Amino acid sequence: MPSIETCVRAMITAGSSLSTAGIPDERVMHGFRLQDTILPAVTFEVAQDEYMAIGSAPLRMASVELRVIASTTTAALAFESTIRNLIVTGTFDAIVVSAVDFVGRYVEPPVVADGDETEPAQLVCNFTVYYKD
Amino acid sequence: MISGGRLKRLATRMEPSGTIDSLGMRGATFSAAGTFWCDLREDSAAEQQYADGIAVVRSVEIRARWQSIVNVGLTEVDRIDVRGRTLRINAIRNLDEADRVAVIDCTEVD
Repeated sequence: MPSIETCVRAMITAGSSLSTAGIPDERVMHGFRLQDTILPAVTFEVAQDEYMAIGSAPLRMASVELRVIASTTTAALAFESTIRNLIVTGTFDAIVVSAVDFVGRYVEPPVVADGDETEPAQLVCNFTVYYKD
Repeated sequence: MISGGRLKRLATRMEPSGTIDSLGMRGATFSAAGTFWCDLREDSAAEQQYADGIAVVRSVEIRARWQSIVNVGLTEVDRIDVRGRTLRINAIRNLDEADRVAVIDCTEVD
């Protein structure tokens, strides 16, 4: 059943640009990264979904947080332009996206503790999707 | 070393489905993929908050021959079905790094 979550995933995996860049479709996941997947990978969440207008054809607005997880900051940043180019209007999983707005992004560097152990870097992209119900 | 007499439970490795749904997540379908003999020990059981409710969460330790685990290809993403109970695997330990005994820490949610 189509939902804004499946719509966002279909948008990100449309075509093969992300796969060509190094993240196959099976490594694009809602919420969290599957246990046995390797890096780099993409996770996304729809943080908020609300009505924008009330009328005969109201629009809905969804705030999406997308995370590119990679072993280094440089590797995560390398996907920024690819991600930005994938966030476009169109019909994805039977949901019509009327407008998109790339809000911004920030980088969470690899976490370093007392030693040199690290967690992967994350490029966090926030964007807003306007779609028809 | 592990005494063969203790390995009296036949466990089934339940392999997760390889298909990915429209959210990129693994399906909740598991299918049988081999068996091995094991020893089953329940460490603890407690009511606790789980999935926005209360459930009894049991901690179960399974011991088996390391080679059996290798042969059946058990990994942490699998489930174990033993005595009609479905156990989630938290970790698989190679006791003393001796390649003899596998200690599998599991959780069962009732």
